Amino acid sequence: MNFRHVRGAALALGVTACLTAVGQPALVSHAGGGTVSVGLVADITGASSVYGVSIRDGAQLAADQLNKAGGIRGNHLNLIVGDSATSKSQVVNLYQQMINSNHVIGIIGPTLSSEAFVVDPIAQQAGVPVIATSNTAAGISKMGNYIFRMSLGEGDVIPLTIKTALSHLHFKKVAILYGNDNAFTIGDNTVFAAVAKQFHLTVVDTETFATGDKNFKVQLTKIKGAKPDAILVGALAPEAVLILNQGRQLGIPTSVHFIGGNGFNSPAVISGAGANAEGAIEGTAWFPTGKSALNQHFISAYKARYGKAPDQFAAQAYDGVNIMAAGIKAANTTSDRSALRAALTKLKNVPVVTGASGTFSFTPTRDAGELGTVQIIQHGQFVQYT
Amino acid sequence: MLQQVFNTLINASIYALFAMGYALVFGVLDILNLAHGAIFMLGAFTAVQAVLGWHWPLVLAIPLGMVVGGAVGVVLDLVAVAPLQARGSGFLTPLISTIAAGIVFENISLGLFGPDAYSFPTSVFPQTPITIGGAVVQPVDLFVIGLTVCLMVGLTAMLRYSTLGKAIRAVAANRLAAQLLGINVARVVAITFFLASALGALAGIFYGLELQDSISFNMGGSVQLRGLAVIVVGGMDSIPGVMLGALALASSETIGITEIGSSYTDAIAFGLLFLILIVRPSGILGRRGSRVV
Repeated sequence: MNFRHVRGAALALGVTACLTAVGQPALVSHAGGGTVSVGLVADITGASSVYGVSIRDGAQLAADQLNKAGGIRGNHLNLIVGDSATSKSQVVNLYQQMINSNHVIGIIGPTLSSEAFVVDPIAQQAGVPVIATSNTAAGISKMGNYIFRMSLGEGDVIPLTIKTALSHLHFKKVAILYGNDNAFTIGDNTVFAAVAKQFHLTVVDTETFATGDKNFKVQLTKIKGAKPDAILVGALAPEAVLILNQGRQLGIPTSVHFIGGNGFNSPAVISGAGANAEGAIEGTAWFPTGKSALNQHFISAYKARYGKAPDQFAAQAYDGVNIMAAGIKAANTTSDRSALRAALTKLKNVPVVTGASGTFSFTPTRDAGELGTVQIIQHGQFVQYT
Repeated sequence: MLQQVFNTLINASIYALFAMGYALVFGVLDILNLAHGAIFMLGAFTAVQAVLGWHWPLVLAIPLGMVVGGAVGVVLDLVAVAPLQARGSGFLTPLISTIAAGIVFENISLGLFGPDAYSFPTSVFPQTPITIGGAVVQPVDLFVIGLTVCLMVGLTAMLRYSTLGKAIRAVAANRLAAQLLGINVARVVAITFFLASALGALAGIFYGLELQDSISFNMGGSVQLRGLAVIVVGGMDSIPGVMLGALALASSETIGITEIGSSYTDAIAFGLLFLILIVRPSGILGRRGSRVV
């Protein structure tokens, strides 16, 4: 045998191994004794960081509260946080690392529906339960029986939003503006079109844009020319801010309300669009004055720890961790993924802060068994709109 | 309608200022400066830092951004381009060098300013909309269009009539002959880079003024591609060609959205590019084989 070849191969293997290790995304984890590990994958940086940071903050608050109260059946909950940086390849890396290296019992995430469609099939194949806390496009739980969704789908929330808006505003003609390259925003358009048909509204114009676009003036000019009574927008927060600003700057009258999907539920929309966000209507899974007994405790604990009020995404992540913990407790295991899956399907009335009733169960199709509410932006705040 | 004309003119102005940088450098040096998008970004960041961080008035922040952009362009020339050209490298090596420089600039920005997007505060420009005909425009829109037109006219006049302009055209026509005639070629090249980069930086500032939340470390990416389309359509080294190409590209984007549907904007813009490459590869106003800066 030629040792030069062996040495060369060993060197190549070693370099590859080092590069792969270096290329691993950074993880933050807490060491522990009798431990159960759960992965959290969120876009903490990148275009969706407005959602990801809230998700991480809400989840970590829940995990720390659980551990202070003695953990899950005495086991320490090790919440491993990974930043997917709004990059599909990074989400894939994180899932594989958490499943294979960190041996997590389940994963909470990812942030965007478009990321979920790429990465949840991997978890399904590996038999790892996933709880989505912010995916709202259609078809998430259809990816397999290990994929659970506790966030309300657009198909559930948007009909309620438009029905509520109609009861106040009585509009007849709508325009639709949506991103045509993202699963969530495309889903919004599908639901908008179906709901418009359901309520006998006339769609006077439909325009599209791409994620990352900054200039919507041509589309908004065309929409303005079609004279709609309301504009339905399927966009994530960065584009929503620009659309609201540019729409008002082009002179679209304030009597024409913007009605958004779940992307509008971030305070970043209010801070980015300022006065131009006034009157924007969106359906939400969580409300600060929600009836849940847990809710006020959650809000004050969140404010005390982070110095700011929580938003819907933080509340959903908080609930996500608690639902995962309830499943782990019911399954009485720290590592059996299929037992966890079975336990999650059987969960009944988990106390949560989101939803109208304060308790949570999964539906038979592993979707969220709770009801949402509608809110409107008034005087720089989300105000309940009933 | 008139509103769409204004939308088109604003986009065309930004594309024209940006693509002018490509045209100047290509005309004089025969190389494509692919760090230009990063300079576009650095100009915007400098101005927004001056306004937000040091509370400068906009009227001072804009020249600062242009000067900093121009200076970065000169540094780019001295470090990444001139040494390679002195060694007689062809077209490709300096191109790759500018790509590398662009990546470095983007990462410097990422390190200094993070991944978030910034805006000019709304207080820098009066926000009162002006109604012209049926169109609603903001004062900043008129500023962008007006200043761009003035600069294009000034640049064309400078190149045609001033001594520096003639020197630039001489170097562009035949570098060796210009040197033999006593023109300091290295100085002319540096000045060209300064000018090209200052215009690119100004384009970045206008982009940031026009659109909220648009100043981020990777803002050069989409404009870079459109700038290349502009000079291919208009002619790689022709100044009037750049203006024509910018108008053509911006118009095709607007027409694409209004007539066919916003899903097809990119397809239409680059379809135009493709058509020009087939029918007239030197561009509408470019001339094969000879240089006209």
